[in-house]
Amino acid sequence: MLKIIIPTAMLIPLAWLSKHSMIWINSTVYSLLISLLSLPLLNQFNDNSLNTSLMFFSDSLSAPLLMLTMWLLPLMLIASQHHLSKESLTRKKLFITMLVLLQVFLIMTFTATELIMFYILFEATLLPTLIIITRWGNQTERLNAGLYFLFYTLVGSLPLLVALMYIQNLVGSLNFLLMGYWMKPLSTTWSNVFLWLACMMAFMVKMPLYGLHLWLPKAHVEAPIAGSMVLAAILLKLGGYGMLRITIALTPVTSSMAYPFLMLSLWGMIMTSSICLRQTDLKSLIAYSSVSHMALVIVAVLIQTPWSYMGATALMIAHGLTSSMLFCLANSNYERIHSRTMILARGLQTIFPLMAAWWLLASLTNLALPPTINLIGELFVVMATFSWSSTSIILMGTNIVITALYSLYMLITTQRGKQTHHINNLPPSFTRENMLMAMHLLPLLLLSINPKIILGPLY
Amino acid sequence: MNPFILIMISSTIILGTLIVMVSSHWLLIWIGFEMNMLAVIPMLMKRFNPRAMEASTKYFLTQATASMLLMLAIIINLLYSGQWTLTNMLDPTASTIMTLALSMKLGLSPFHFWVPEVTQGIPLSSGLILLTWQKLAPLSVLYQISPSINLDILLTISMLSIMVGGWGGLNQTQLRKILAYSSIAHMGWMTAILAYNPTMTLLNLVLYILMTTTTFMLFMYNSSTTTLSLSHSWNKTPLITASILAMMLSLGGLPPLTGFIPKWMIIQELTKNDSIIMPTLMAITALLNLYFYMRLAYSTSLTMFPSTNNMKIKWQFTSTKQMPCLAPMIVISTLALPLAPMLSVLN
Amino acid sequence: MNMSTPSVLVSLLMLLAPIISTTLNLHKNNSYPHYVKTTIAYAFTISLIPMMMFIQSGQETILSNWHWITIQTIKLSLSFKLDYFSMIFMPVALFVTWSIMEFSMWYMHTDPYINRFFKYLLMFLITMLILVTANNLFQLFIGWEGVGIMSFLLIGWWYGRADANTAALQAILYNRIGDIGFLAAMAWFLFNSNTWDLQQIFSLNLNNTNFPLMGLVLAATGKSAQFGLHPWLPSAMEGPTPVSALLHSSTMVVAGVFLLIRFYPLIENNYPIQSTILCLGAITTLFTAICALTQNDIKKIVAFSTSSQLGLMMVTIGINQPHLAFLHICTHAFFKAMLFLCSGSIIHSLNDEQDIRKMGGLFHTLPFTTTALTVGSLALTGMPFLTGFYSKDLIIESANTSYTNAWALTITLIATSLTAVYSTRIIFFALLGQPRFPTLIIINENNPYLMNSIKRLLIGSIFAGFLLTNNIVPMTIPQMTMPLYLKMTALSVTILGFTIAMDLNTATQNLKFKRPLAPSKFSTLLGYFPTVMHRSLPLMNLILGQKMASLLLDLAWLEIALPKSISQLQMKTSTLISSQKGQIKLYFLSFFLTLALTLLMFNFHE
Repeated sequence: MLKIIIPTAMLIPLAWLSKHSMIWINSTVYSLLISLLSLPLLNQFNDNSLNTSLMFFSDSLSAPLLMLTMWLLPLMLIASQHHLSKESLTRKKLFITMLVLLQVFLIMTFTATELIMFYILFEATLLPTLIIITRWGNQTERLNAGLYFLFYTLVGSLPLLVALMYIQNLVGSLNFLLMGYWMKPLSTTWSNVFLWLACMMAFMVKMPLYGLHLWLPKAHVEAPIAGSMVLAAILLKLGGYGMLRITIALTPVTSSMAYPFLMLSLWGMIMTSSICLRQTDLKSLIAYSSVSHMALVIVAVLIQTPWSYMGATALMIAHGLTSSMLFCLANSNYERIHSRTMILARGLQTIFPLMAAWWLLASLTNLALPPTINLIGELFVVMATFSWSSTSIILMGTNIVITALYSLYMLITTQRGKQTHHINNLPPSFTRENMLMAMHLLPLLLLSINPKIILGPLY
Repeated sequence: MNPFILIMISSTIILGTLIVMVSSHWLLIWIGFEMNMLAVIPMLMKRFNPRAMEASTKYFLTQATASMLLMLAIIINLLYSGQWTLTNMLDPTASTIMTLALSMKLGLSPFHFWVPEVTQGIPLSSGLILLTWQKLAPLSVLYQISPSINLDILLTISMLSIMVGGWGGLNQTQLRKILAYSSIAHMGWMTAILAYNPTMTLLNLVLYILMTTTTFMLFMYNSSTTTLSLSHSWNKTPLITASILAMMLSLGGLPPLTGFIPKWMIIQELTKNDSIIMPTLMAITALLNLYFYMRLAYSTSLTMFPSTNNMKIKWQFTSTKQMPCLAPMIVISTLALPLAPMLSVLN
Repeated sequence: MNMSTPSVLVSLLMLLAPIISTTLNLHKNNSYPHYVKTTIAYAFTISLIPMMMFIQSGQETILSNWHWITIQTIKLSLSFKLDYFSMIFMPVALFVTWSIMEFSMWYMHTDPYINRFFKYLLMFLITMLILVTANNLFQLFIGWEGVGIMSFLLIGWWYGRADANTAALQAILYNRIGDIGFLAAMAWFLFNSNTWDLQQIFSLNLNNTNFPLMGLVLAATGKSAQFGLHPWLPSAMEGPTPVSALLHSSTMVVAGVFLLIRFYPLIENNYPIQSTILCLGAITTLFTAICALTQNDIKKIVAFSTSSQLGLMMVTIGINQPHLAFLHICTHAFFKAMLFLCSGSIIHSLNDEQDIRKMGGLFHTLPFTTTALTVGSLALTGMPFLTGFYSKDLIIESANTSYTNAWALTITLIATSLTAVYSTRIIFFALLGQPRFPTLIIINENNPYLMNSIKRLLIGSIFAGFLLTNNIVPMTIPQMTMPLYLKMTALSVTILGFTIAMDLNTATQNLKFKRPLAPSKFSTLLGYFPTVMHRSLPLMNLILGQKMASLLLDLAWLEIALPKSISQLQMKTSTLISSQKGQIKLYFLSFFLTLALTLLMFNFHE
């Protein structure tokens, strides 16, 4: 794993020592190289994990997320070039440093073997993200957003720290690989119920669970493009990853504790999708759509069947790429229109035809058009939920309908219709932007050829 | 201040603390406390102004009371055990009074009122001494009598301190007051673990002193005592503003930074001793501290306030202030978390 | 190994060529539409080979070639089912598409994005063929969703128009509601038969298939615009006419019926489902026929008539005659596509005028179109020995001789009669009488693209039914003997319809204008359906989304419950704790109190 972590960390000196004109190019190309070098990680054996050292390992659950993380760094760098074009050189370098730092933390989070190390790194990712959101966001609401982001996550995760310590005292080890074997089944006493809550809430807040999701729209909306991308694509998945990992230790309490959260997620999924239908703010719409999709992941993880786990993993990857792409598109609109309000940027298809194609594809993947991996994820989740309770198909179906509606509503409002009169003097879309969208879409399409590699360990 | 006098005074301060720390005779300990306290007063009054005067008076009065209580406890102890040696206190009354006296000296919660007031009244450098060096002596005594302290009192005091430290700081805009409240909260963390694992207290103290010293140095470097002046520092010393951000989050105990080590270790120790609710509450309450540190970080480094100022080009000039070891201090007090596995030597 | 499989694959893969060629520079060429059209023509020709071989040998094939993924116990691979339905439908679809492509070369020639239009049509065709040939539910779902999305794109082709966008969104919405059913069925089959492969599902003896079949009926309702989910089809007429001709008459909308036909091995043993389908179809066919009566937009009339015919197909499935329904799909494709092309020709000639009240007398100016339109309408009504007759007459007969549900059969008969009424109405208003269009329009239908395409379909509309019925053995055998009056029913109700329509049309010209009656309002307002269901439900949902989900819960309660209340609490506590007067006597008071309390509590309590 060091062959990935060290080069990634070395991106920081690379950024600081590069020539002024080369900082973006150098860092992008090298991070892309790193992500390509780490592609072999995806070649996982079925039920074994690659223990690269005592500290780091990767198995078929973490490998796709790891790959997504590494793939996203060059994309973030590409995406934020315009946003930072007016900043001074040092600040650009600082920004790149923050992204790289976040990247290092994320890589280590996804590969950590020890739960406590996972916890520390999980929290560590907050710091660069917070700086990215509050330092490079645009509106003043970003400060509030940063606080919401930080404190929701921390309040959720501090009990986890205590719970982890408790588990360590109980079991003697916090190693992911051993815990499955060492952990005795918990009895359903009140203390174990609280243990369950402490363990799960941290990740549920991060996911976020409906009701605890208020930080997410704020943070997504106020963050600069790279922040939104990494939040939507990876940081939310940390929650899913953590839940998938820690539920091993929590059997069989999960089966009884899951019900309220399942209900809340199913309900919240509909609610947040409905909110999407009424959003006027483009980024907010995408953010709420993330909440709705992540509710599916929560449901899937809590149901705890092989199919649902596979669905959760696939959906996380698919949503990571899709929502990140949508944020990029929203950002390319924002950089031209200087507003996130959808109604001010209508009929862009006539002006940016190629961009309209990306919009179309992104919306279609967002509404889970077969055979994209989004569909595979959603389909598996729906199947698993159906087997759990057949009436839940009504809620799932409603959500599917609403998802399609708001995705296309977004597409139609921004791309179709007549263009507004006040929009003029728009610079054409750059090759950089088209490249960015293509690089988002390519993995989505390629993965649908062989979705096996993102279906997680239970495949 | 006259350098000669300064040397005299500071050596007395140091000597007083050292006497407390090394002696095993209660009277000598008491004398050490008195020496230290009396020598600090002139330091607090470095600048003669009513605020400093008031502050040092308050300090003197509280410390004198504490010393008196300490003496009382010593005598009670003498009465019961018949010896002056610093050993485990057998008598609960003596131990209680001793604990309270020392908490008074440390500024723990029910006795905390003087800390922000005094710190606010004195210059930054004196504040540094007050909030770091002055904690050494009382804590060393507490460390030594820790086996005989009533656990309930200790935990109540520590929990109260953590809460007060959190809530008190929320309302402040003055940096010294904020740091005073932060000190109260940190002292709370130290006392919480004292009965279970005094080594952790020491660890926490070391790291606390390290971080607080660095923070004070950063503030001194900018000569800022208010949030407002801190928010102007970006056009004086851009690098320092960035480090203030890291420092603040480290003080708040955010994981990848040094400040997380003591929190982590303390929570671990408490959990090992089957105390679950206490560390959870402590951790959640510590978020209050994090909140006001965040506010400082926001105004210092994460935003650029559109206020007008005449110092736009100040960053071009090299600072005349001498801050020895600032860079290593910053590095240690923010990035030492990866060294945490080395803590196993403590056991 | 015979020629059948490779030639099917060749004709399928051929269609990919124009899509792939977009990566070359060819698509920017003017000849791209021509290229696409020719490709489809070739594909049609090649697909005739397997069809003929199938007719000759009756050999069904399942191709299973690319193993995609195995999930636990389910193996998913790319597999094609080349059976009766797909082998017959493929050439039909290709033939119709070929003609429509040619027609679009005339109709869309001024469109700057004509190449993209052709690409969309082609992609639609590919997804449709995937749907038809799919052997497992997942692949079927790919095609199913694919046609839905392509229909979205094609309806919203003129994206500058708000109506087009709304219609496109409507189409997706109703289709998606149907998809719930599809997904439910998929889930049910997964857990009860552990497979998605069609032949495996059919070979298992599944019990209690009500749930998945209801799901499939819902899916079919959405896709085939059955009653309840029908409003999208008339709205979809906002799209270009070739799109209406291809998607919304001959191919995409029959996908729902096709799905039920695919599942007939399950449906034929499940009477409640049959009954449901029968009633649903009957209601649809009558309701949409009534709606068609008073429409003035020529495309809308044809659209409603499509909907009505789809209802008839459902009725056929409901009386357990899936092969007959399939036959009707095939025959219907020819004349309905042609009707749309004719209306397209009229619309284009009259400068995009769609209102039949502003037409009239077109048989002088557009003789060829008039011929085709008339033949098409007659075929639609089931005039003997035209294409429609072969399927429709059989359907009515078998409905009459079946013993299932007299009520449903009655209203089907009424609907059949109404078919004749609105067909006559189109002919009467658009083609006959005096011209009511502006005189300065230059009308010319002598474009070979237009003529050839309509001509081809015209031939199809006349002979296809004959050819199909003569060559294909119906698998479910319809009733062969019946009394004369039953045999004549279909014809007589149709003639009745013609008579009434003629009479009414004449009457409208000679009689005084009267205030519209309630039935007329019912028809013009589309049975009040848009007001009651179509508008109010989404409105309710949107209001719910805004008022409850967003304003009440997210922005009010959740904010108050967690962050706001907590921060309020902290602020209060903070002021409480940090406000002090800084008086030393109070400090000492607090010291004293603490000391006293502590000593009392911990030391002197025993």
